[in-house]
Amino acid sequence: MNRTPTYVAVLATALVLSVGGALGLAGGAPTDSGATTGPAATPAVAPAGTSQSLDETITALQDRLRRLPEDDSAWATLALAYVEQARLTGDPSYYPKAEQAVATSLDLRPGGNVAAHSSAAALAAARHDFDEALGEADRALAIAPRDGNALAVRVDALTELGRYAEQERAVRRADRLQPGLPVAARYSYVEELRGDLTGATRVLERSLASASMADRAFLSTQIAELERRRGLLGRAERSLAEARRAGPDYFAAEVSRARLAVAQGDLTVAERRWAGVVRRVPLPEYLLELGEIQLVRGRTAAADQQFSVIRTTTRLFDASGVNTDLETAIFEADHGSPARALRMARAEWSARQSIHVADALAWALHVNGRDAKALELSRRATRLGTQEARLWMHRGLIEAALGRAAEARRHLRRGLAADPGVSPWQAAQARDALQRLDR
Amino acid sequence: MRTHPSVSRRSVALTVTGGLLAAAGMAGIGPSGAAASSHREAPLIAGAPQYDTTDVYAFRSPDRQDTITLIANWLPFSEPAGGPNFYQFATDARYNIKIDNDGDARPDVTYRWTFKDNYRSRDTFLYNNGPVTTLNDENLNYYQTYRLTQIRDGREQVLVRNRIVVPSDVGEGSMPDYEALREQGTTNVGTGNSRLQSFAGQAEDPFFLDLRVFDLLYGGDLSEAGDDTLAGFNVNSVALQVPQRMLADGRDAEDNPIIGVWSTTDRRGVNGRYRQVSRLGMPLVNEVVIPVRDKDRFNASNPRRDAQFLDYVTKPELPKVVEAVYDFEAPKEPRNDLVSVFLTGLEGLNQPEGVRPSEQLRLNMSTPVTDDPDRLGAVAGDAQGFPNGRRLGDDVLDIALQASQGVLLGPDQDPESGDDNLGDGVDVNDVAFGDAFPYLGLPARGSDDAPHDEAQMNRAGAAGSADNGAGWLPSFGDGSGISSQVVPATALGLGLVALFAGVAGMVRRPARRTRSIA
Repeated sequence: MNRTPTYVAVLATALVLSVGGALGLAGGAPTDSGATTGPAATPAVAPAGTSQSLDETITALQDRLRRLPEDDSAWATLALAYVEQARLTGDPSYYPKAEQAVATSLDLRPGGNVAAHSSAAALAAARHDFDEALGEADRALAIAPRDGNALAVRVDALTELGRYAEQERAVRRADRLQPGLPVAARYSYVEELRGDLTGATRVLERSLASASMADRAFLSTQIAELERRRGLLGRAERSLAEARRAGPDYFAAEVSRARLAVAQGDLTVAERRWAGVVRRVPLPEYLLELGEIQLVRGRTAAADQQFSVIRTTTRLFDASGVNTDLETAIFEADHGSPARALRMARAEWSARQSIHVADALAWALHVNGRDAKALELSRRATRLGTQEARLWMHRGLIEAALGRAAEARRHLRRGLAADPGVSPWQAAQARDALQRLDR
Repeated sequence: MRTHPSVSRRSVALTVTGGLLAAAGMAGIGPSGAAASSHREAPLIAGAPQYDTTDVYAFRSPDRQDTITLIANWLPFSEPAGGPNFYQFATDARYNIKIDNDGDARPDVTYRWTFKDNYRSRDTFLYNNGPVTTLNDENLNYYQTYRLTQIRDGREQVLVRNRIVVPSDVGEGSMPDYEALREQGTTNVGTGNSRLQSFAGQAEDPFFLDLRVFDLLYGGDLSEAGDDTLAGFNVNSVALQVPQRMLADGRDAEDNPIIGVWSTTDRRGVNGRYRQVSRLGMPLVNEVVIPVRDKDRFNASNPRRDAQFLDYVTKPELPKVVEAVYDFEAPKEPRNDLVSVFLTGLEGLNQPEGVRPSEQLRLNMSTPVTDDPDRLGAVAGDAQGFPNGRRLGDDVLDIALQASQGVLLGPDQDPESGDDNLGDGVDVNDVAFGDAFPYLGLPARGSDDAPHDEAQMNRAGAAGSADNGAGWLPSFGDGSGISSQVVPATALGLGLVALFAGVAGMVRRPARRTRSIA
């Protein structure tokens, strides 16, 4: 499940401008997870020798603030840098720092402080508080209607709140007011959510034509994600090679390479790559992918180790004010406590009704034996026609439990076809169910 | 010569502009605040330097006086050692220089550049595969070509098509004779006195200033300043030298010599339509006059509707800041004196008849070219300088700051001491400008070990104007040919300066003034 990191990413990125103009948000690398967030962000990683590392940026800002502690916009910028840093490192302890920097900026300039509200919106979204993100984005836009960052975060917030009609209007408006890669990336995600992977790819490819090197790593990676899900593994591999040329250590590309190894059926390589991903950014959704591959390969003890790290990490996120209920609910449903899964999914559902939350709640209801209610939610989760493996597998499994064999077969097949890079443990559940149906 | 070991130029570049402009691909940061030079404009644009106009220049060509040279720059803070990260123009953008030749705030002539990428081999991301000795060299693997279109009276005419953009100077090994490439990059269109010259490519950023001067907005202190913080950074430029009559209303430059110039960048959206995302005419307006919250709005705006920004000119923020920092009382508002500087042009110098106020860089094409340009331009009595157009060497920042010196220093200032002048301590660009088109300095080289250190070598002493009155009452010298054109002191001196120091009617109190020590 690609929620947390992605979101973090999203925001960070969304708000973060990189010099190459790379900003990105990106269509969420939809993963197989039931909980993909939209845009995944682009850490603008530039070719060696040109990139100014985020650390250096943060140090420069801190130096400036020691000299000029009243520079409200530098405080707001620093907040954004911390949000981005949290995303790149997976270390949530940057969020409280970001919060403090935003507060300082607002103290210095309480009125008309676009940058602070923009950064606050990014921070809230990174912490999955999408109501707050929407509120802050709207506050920024009330002051500066063309603020690109706020326009972008607003789209993200509406997406995660499950307000899809508004999401579409917001993205068109953003494109009218502030065209650019951040908007294009979200535009692509709008199409992807509605099941149009070809259209989503086309938007990204158009952006690629005028993208800086830094943006290319991000765009090529997103294109590779879409190509893999369309079953075009050779093309996905080429796109990832492009991404490597453009940004040799671009993190999102590593995640995509791990999924590609799964799609190519090489679980040895896949496990090695996922382990590399986790070493770099130990987020729960990545740990879950690694653990599930290890389960499939019969390495139960290793898998248990990942799962216990997930529990620890989750506690850490909670302490930093990051809401991880959605990720945790799905993890608990499959590998932990069904009761806790349901509690968390319900809590999240009361806050927002996106398709991914609907899916998490459906699945939590199912593992608690509440299949009729689960089907209702699962239908909501698939209502946009989103081509994500887990949404359809869950629906098929729930239908199978209800004895609706024909629908179950159709949806399980659809789920298995949706993404060959989906977690092999998840795919195995779906395949076993299909076999039982066909017996 | 002072250096500031504690503050690296790079970190200044990074933070002053807030926009983290440095190298492409840096995980940059968005909104940031202080007014800085155009090198940090609207938050969004700051993150998209390919679309961000940094400066516009318009001047009568010293070596072909029947022509005007127009220059616009994008992509500030391009590090010379860009490695494989070349600095290219965007291919989904239209780069425009617009001319209003009748004062109605509508563009009458538009020059539009569009760019395409070309690869000799798609198998490599390398910029070049060996030494590049000509623009058509096979070793130049990646290059851009441009098309230049003139739009006038609703008709589009392609002036230049498919010409090569002079590539980034990646260094000694790859481009042993970069100057030759620069020369090949100038395209001639037409012949005789209707000949145009066109250039697109990389140049050293001609703007020179110490960005830290803007720190005073945050209680910073000018004694820190004195380095050209843009030294050794490159930009991407387009330059066009065009006969005056092509720009003039009715093609009559004699009767209609005053033009207004500004640059815009349009960017294509997902929906296929182009939107204006950057606008720049007069220097410093976008960064000093327009508050941060309105920068995106200004960047998307059109001069016809500049009345919406009027309050920022008549009630500027900066004098209030200066008042707080330097203890000078800000002049009374509304500041109608500023209106002529920023919105209408100066009466008798470069104000078109019946002008509709709008922010443009206004140039009187008939003002004679001086052999001895003064970096302080019209303020120092050199009528051919800023704000009558803008030459590459015009010290626009000091024109604003220095003009206030007489007041800041009081009548008892010792005229012999040149180093008490308020300014940013940077009086010249770190590299020389050329004496023929395109005039721009050659870019800092990718092979240069320390491209940003040259400023230290070239910093001029604080050559304040010798006559303290000069900043106030421009006396156009003999041969200026416009003795009849009296530039109102309030307009110039006050206009520009007041923005910074709020000079008009200023009451001097014991000031916490700092010096810029050269």
